[in-house]
Amino acid sequence: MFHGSIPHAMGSRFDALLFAPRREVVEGLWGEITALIEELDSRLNRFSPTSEVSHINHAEVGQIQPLSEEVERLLQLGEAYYRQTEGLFDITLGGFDALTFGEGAICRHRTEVMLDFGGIAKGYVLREVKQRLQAVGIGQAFVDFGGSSILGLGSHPYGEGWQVELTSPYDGRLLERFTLRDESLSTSGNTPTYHGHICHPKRGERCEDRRVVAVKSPDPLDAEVLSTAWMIASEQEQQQMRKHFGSVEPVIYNL
Amino acid sequence: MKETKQEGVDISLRKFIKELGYLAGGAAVLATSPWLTACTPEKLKEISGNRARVALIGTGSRGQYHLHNLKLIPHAEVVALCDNYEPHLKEALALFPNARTYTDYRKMLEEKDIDGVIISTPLNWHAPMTLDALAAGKHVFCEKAMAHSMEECKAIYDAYQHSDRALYFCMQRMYDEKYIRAMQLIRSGLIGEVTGMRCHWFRNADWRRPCPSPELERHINWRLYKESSGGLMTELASHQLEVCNWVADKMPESAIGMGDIVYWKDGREVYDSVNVIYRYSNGVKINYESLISNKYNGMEDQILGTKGTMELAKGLYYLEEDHSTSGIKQLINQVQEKAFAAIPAAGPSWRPETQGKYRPHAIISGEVHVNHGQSTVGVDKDGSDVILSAFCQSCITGEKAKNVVEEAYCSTLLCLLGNKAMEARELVYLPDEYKIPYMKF
Ligand SMILES: NC(=O)c1ccc[n+]([C@@H]2O[C@H](COP(=O)([O-])OP(=O)(O)OC[C@H]3O[C@@H](n4cnc5c(N)ncnc54)[C@H](O)[C@@H]3O)[C@@H](O)[C@H]2O)c1
Repeated sequence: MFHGSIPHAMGSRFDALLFAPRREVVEGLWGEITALIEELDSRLNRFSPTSEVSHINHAEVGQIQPLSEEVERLLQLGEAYYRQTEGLFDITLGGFDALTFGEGAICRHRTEVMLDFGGIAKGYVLREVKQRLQAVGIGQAFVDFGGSSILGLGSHPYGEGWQVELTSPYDGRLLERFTLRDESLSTSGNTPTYHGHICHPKRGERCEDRRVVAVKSPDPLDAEVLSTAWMIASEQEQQQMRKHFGSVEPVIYNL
Repeated sequence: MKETKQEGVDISLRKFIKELGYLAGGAAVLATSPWLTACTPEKLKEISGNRARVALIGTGSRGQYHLHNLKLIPHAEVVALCDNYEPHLKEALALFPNARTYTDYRKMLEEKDIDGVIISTPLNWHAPMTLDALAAGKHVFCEKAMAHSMEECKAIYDAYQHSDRALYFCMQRMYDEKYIRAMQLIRSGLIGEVTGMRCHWFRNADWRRPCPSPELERHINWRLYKESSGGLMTELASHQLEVCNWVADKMPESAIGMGDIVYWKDGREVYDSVNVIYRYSNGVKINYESLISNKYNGMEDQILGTKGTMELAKGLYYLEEDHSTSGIKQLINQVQEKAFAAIPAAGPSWRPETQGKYRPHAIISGEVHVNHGQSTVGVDKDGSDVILSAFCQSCITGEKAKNVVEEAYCSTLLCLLGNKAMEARELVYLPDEYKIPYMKF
């Protein structure tokens, strides 16, 4: 059993428990995972004035800025999710229609457009981690990114799958016990000290409800995106989104 | 650091330093800690097969501690030993029977087959010995604190500017993996903005060494007399104040404090109780406290940030709002005990189980070497072996250690400024004539 952790990346803690017969394989992979997270963190950090995202966000409207391959890939993913969620999931905070990007360059057309990868980066990392683990033949692992994004591969050495409990942030009451087997779980929600951080991009209103959403999915990135979108989606919007995400069914807890 | 003898004392630290560049905050640590950049596995490979010929002056307790470490450094060879107190010289000779012995360090410095000199004598000897050794063309590794007065520190600093020799002062925290990793975490933003620092060192002991006859009192118990010692400040605080400057990446401007002999009224001249506050230009303060008649609080270097607290000596940190869960810990325990259960892992960041309580997190995972501060000699694996190994490397390559002299200069000046404040019982400022370009205020 190998335990790797990064105390502070993308504003959260990252922990991985990896099980593999050969220690060199795990250590090599752990090096790759840290490098990936560190690199994304330094590019996407909105609070560091020298990050790539800060350069883009603070450039004059209409000015063309360089765009790295990694950030371009994330933007493409973000745009696809923007379409699939009827515009509810929006990492530009101002709509992809006011943004042009591709081939290593990017340009904002409105000042409101501000890139924020906070809602996509952790899911993306978990998706990458899952692929890399599987590529080197590691089928047993538990990865926790900040408590709200979790990946369980294979099973706990002494049980079936990996069991995690979701409790109410308001009173600690058990809401659900999930079993993850080659799946991930993402949760979003308001808490007593932190609420109103998810905003409806079209209607502009903040979601202040005492609500938690949990999404279980084989794809960590889908789970991450849907847990955010479901916080603010109307019945009708949920109906629309179901068409794109097949069997994945978010659960809403109104507390 | 669980490496074996054959690999050398500092392999795992060297690997970690090599990796620092790509960790969040790591580049910032390397930028402000350039002494680490020479400490890589590659450098060790470059010098493999070479041995630094070193001599040691002052074979007392700390000197013998270094001799034990030198046995584990493959690129070091101890060729000479010097002490003017025979019993100590004999003890050292037992460790290195082939080394030549001297009672007069000046004689020893004349020898051409010595590349580097290690000085672990009382504080009043640091300046004369360091200056003479540099003048004799030797690389020098001297114990902290730098010297006994600001004038002496400045003289060493000036001599070093005109010397091509390497010079180290044994500020081992600068080479301690726990501290380096903590710096990386601080620079990555883990504890937010640093707004205060509290360092303390408590012991319950008289600080005396057994003395075989009264005329040896000042030689053996040099720590207790002002002619040879700066007391608790130079002996203990020097390490901790360096750490504060490392965190702040600047130098305090002023100090205020009080010192007394509260309990050990045995004829000693140095305080057994000191409280000093140092102030940086932005208002951040270091609160320093040392008392040697109660050990309850032990030793700690505590860094206070808007989002968390670091306890560097224990290798722990605490977050103001702890969003992590105990899930991973529980899982590890389960696997070790062959048990299976659900863990409280999922959830948007808030956990009733931890509300209001501070949960300790380890700065480095795995084996952590903790210095509780009760030993007057030194503890294992606190960076002392690594800095000594780095010095021996310099004896071979001739490369100076970047900023080590400057860091020692700044922290020693703070110790001496603290003593000045306590003696004057008023707010004192660092005199302009001792400011050096390295200092940022
Ligand atoms: N870095 C650390 O953590 C650490 C820990 C302990 C001590 N120290 C430092 O190490 C130094 C020595 O401390 P110690 O506890 O070993 O003291 P000590 O009294 O045990 O040893 C000092 C030795 O120097 C010898 N000596 C004194 N004057 C001499 C001279 N003119 N020529 C040759 N030899 C002479 C003494 O005979 C004695 O053997 C001090 O500067 C102390 O601050 C540093």
